Amino acid sequence: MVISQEEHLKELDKGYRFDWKDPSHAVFEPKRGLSPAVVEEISSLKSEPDWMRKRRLKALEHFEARPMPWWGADLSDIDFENIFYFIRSTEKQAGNWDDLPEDIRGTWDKLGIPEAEKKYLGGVSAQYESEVVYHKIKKELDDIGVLFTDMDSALREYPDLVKEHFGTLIPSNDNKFAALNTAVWSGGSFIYVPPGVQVDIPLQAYFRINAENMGQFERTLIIADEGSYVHYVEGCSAPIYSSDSLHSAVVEIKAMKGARVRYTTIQNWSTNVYNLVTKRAAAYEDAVMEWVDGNIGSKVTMKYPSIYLLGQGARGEVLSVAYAGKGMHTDAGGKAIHAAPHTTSVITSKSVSKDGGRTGYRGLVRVEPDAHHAKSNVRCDALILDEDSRSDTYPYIEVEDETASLGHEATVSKVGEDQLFYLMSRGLSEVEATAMIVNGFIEPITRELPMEYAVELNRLVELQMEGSVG
Amino acid sequence: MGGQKVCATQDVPAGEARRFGVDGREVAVVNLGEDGFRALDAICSHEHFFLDEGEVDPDEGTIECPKHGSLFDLNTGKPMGLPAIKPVATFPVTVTDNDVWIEV
Amino acid sequence: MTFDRAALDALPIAPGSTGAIRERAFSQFEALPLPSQETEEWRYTDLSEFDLDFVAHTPGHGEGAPEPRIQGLAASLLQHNSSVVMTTSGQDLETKGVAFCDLDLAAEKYADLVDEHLHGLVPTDRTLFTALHGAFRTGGTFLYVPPDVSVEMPLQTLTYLDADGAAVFPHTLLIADRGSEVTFIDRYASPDLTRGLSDAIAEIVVGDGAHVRYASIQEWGTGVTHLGVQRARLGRDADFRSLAVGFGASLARAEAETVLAEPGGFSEMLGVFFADETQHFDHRSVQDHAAPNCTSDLLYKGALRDHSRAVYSGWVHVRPGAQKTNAMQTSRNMVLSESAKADAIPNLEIEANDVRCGHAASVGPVEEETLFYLQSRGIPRDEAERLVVTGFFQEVLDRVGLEEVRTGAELAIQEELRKAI
Repeated sequence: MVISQEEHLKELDKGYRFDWKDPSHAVFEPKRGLSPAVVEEISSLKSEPDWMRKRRLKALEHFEARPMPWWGADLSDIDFENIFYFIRSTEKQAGNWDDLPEDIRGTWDKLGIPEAEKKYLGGVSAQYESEVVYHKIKKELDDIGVLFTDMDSALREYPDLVKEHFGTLIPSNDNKFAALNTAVWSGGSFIYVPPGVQVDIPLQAYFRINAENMGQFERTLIIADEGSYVHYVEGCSAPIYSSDSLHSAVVEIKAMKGARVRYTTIQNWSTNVYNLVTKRAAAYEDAVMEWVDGNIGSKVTMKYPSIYLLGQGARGEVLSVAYAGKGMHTDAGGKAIHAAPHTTSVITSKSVSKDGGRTGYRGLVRVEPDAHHAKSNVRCDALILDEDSRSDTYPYIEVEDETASLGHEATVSKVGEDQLFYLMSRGLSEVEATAMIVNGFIEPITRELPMEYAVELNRLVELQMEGSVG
Repeated sequence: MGGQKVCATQDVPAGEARRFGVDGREVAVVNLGEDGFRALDAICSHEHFFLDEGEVDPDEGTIECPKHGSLFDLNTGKPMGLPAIKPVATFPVTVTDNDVWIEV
Repeated sequence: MTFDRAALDALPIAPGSTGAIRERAFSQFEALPLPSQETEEWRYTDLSEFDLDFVAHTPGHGEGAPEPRIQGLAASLLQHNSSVVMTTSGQDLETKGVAFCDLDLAAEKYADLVDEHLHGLVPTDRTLFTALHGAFRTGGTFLYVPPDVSVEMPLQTLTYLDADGAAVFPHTLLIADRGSEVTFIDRYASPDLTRGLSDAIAEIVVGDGAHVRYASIQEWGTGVTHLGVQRARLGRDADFRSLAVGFGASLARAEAETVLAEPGGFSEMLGVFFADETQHFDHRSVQDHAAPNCTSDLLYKGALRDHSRAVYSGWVHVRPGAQKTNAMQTSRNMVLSESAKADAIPNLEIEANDVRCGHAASVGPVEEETLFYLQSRGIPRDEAERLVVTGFFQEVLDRVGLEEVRTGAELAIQEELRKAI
């Protein structure tokens, strides 16, 4: 991916590009803290069926009963009582950008979403605080039966489909934050692609937090029926505040026989957001599941997209790129569970830490008994740009079948002095040269992104390299 | 009537499960009230945790693993969702007078 | 519970400062829980049903122990059950000032060294089992090599257990003073037993510029539970090369740790293991880089057969300031039968940036083509399998520098493979 150096240089001094705040548009006065009453209120505001209300309340009990994770990042500063669990920003969802309040519309313009929608997206879902404020799918897709709505609408419009699949990949009691999400979820995307349908332009969701101490808990469910294809892209950002926000999503994906799902994330939360996300996909016979997971922002990220290879011949791929700068801890990774014969998985992770940041790869490749002839390859590379930064690699390999063939390799290094010297001798500044090397390092990931996102990711790298001299 | 006597009916309150050792196996006996008793392997097929310590849903006929939330169908032993993948064994139950018998 | 106050009081008197260690360790033992699978360290070994019912102390007489496999040992020590029964040492060792004897004897004779180093690297309160060791150990090996002294031929301790239901507490305290050079072999052997416990510790202090080669050959019989901790501390420009060979025991958990505490250290950790029947191996390694300009390299290779299970987990830890670290960690597993299980968890925790660190792990089946080829050349299946495993281990053995150690390991491997396949 080549971007003009001039363009880069212009960006270099700007820092985090997404730091603007709209005035509050809350439809009613939001309350801090979590209780059964808050959960009841969310459910009642959404006029949900009783089973969902009960599911939420039980999940709250799970959340309260489960201890905080003892592993991974330090979560001890999260103040659950100081978080807003639900903020409604518009009375109703818009299908036209012009119907949004001016500030909110301005935010989407600055993020470039309406423009992207025109150019290359098959559908857009724009979530602002707790709910999707704008949603639209191209008519052609609608006509051939592709369902793409926000999750709240899906529960109303396709109650049976939602009830059949909701929480079957990630039960509410899977982990503490899945329980929290199940209790207070709001927004997120619901996608159903009918058999044989190829959605050849991406569907996108963008998640924006605006308020301080916001808790955003979107819930996404994607079902790609037999032989279908869909590419879903999500992005996110928030203003910078001095106190913390919490983003805790649950994403469940089913790739049925012969289907292929690609899920791309460019996570660029501001550095006061805890990003604690559970993502899990099931791939059935000959299905292909791909996670492309870019984690550039947030204060703390703990996210390990997983793939359960449940049908013969299923394939899974995780491409993960993680960046951690000052005060950041990005603990990312991937999991592949081989539970059927002749399944394959590839996990590629690239991480960069700088200015005291800490990146981690945490992964699991597991081969169940009788999942014969499984093949898996894991490759993790880390760059540490200065002596205050840190990188950890925690891969787990568990094999219960003798025909499995698994490999794992990892390296940790610094930016090569020879490379730097060479580039600088060709007239590049140290910052530019470092950025170029880092861009080359994460190239295996960026080449898998849609063009616009690759450009965005490279630009982000340039920005982050600012001041990385030394 | 086959198998062996495992417990008395009043040992397992309705809507709950209890664990008993049967022939060296840990078996969970579940009381579904009007729907009678069920018996299944007490150890989750995902990781080593006891299903009888999880919640029973008599309406849906399921038991939930307390560790990671997988639901198991009490009639078939099959997991109804991840993270468990494999079924747990189920055992035929007969109730005579006040005793619960299981064939392991 | 046989590890009670009465059993403690019935032990032979603890000499020198070891009496205080014994008392302290016993109270730690009473306070510590059995390691739980809930912790990361013990995730893969389930001791929740482990019955700590063993005979705490069994005096030995020295008869029945196997002969050494290799000739030309500079000195040897035999511990039979709980007692050191024989030490042989060449004259020249004594004139060079090398001390090699029963650890309990050393606690009086070399009190200063023992006081300074015993349980210095492996504190008794590390786990329930190190506390148990601290409380009930008798015997053990003490080896001290004075500054700039080189011992060319290897020294060996054989710990031999033949009492059913007994616990043994092998302990090696090896101190190589600055600029010295020594090779030491710890060999553990027993016949098949109904039950037995080997609760072993090796503490290895490698002084500035010293060169130490350390090999452990674990060939306990069936029935034995082996829980071993080996920890080495390397001084400036020290050179430490270790080889772990593991075949025996029903359950073997072996931790090997190297601390590169001063600049310029070099550590090589090699391991081969072969598991069959229902053996459970839990191998753990730590390469702890606490100082700059150090190099560490680890290569473990394991072959598994039948219903055995092997877990390898390793840590490379580069601490802040340990720049110019070069660390590599490799685990290779060959799975020979359907119901064998292998797990690998090679971890890196890197807190310095000017480093070259990496790891590689693989788990794969035996190459059927190779077996088929060998069989097509008239070699029976069993022999073909032995050849493939031998070939798989050869990469490790080729790196063992000292011929005596290499030959000893090769002979041990051949003996094991003939028995198993």
